[in-house]
Amino acid sequence: MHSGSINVWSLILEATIVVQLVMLILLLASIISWVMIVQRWLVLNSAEQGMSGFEKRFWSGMDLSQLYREGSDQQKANKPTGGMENIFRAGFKEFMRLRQQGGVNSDGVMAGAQRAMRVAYSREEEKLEKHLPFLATVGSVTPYIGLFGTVIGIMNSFISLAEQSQATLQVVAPGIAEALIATAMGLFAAIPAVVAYNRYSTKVDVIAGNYITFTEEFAGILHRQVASAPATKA
Amino acid sequence: MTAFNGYPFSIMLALLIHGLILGSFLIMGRADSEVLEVVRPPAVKALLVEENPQARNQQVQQQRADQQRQREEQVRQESQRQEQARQEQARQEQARQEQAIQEQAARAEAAQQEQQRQAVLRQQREQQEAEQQREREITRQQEVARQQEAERQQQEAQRQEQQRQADAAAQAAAEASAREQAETESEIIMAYTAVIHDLVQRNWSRPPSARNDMTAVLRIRLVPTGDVVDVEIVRSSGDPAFDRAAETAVRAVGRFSELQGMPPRMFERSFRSLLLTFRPEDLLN
Repeated sequence: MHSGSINVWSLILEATIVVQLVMLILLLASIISWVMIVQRWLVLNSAEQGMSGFEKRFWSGMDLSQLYREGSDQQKANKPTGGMENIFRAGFKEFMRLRQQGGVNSDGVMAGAQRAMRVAYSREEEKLEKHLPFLATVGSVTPYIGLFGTVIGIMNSFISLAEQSQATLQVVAPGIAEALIATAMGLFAAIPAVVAYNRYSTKVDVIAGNYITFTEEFAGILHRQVASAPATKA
Repeated sequence: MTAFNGYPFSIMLALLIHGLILGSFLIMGRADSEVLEVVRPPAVKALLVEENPQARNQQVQQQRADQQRQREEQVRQESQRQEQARQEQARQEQARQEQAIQEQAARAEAAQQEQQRQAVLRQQREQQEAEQQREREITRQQEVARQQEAERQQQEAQRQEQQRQADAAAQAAAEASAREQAETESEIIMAYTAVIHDLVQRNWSRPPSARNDMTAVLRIRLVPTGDVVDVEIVRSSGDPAFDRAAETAVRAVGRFSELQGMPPRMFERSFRSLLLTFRPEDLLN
């Protein structure tokens, strides 16, 4: 690197400790937020795919106990099942268990199945929303951290300016450039985080809405079965 | 279909993205710096190089000549003094010889007188004897006086010798202090020229047309308050803008208020009229 010229690297390396610390924090925040962005992208994509695949199978007219058994086989083969399937399995399992137990009326069976599905739903939603608050935090806080670094950097450059008897642009410019790098890094970390947060929270809302819809539909199916079962039994 | 979380993949991807960005900055920075090196404006940092060399040289030579002259003067005085001492000795010797001759003559005359007196006047013997006695008395007195005179001269010589030694010591001390004073004086002058140098340099903004081989020499005249009363270009650099910038720099300073506390003698000798050489040496082209 040339000693006489200014470039980004020399500015970063010659910055004051506080500014360097701010830059380090921002770099870490940016890296971690990108890890989250990529990971959420993978998770939400697979959740979407799993959802559409399962819906297709569910509405194909397949027997529900057959569907449940396929899921059990898949879990035994160490392949985790998707979110919607988990809700179905929780509801169906509870439904069958209550029905086999006997002595529970149809309302009680339905209430039990719905409760189990609500629990599974909230668990799935939690899985989907994991790390999104971190992205929101990065998106809102890193510009401020960058600004802090900038203010400190400009302060330092003005202090050094006060020591000079003659103010030239050369004295001020490196300090301000160095300070502005901190803001640039803050924005660099914040922008993708904000974009990803908005995009992903919409996606999570869509998927969660689908889950709720499915829960209601499945509850309807189970209700039909409950309504028909006492008739066959009696 | 799976609750695939893919953390390792995400981490690798994130690091890759940042690595790419930082790497591109590095490459860009390299390219930028090379470009910057070429396009750098020619006049960024002003430097006033070797200001007033002739005057300083003259001053140093003057000092050296002064010292040389003092030394020569001392040697000359010393030799003169020796010469005087030699002459003094010679004179004393002569005086002593003359006195001895006079004494002999007086003694011969006395004997003659006595014989004449013995031959001619016996009756007056007593008187003559008394006379002789008186004369002897006189000669004795003269002898004593002569001895005293010699003693006195000897003392005088001693005193002169002492005086001479004291003089020599005093002169040596004076010479040493003068040399010391000259040294501190040149130091002070250097400090003041550094101040002037600094002030002018700060006020000097060089035109873009400045080149390394340009040299402008300005004569500035100061009054003891430090005010610049006159600026004239003694030697032009060939570039009017450069000359004007140099003149403007001096006029912009206007007053070297640091010079106010200077001893007037030093001011008159070194700062009444100054030659300033403006030469940009740090330029690339």
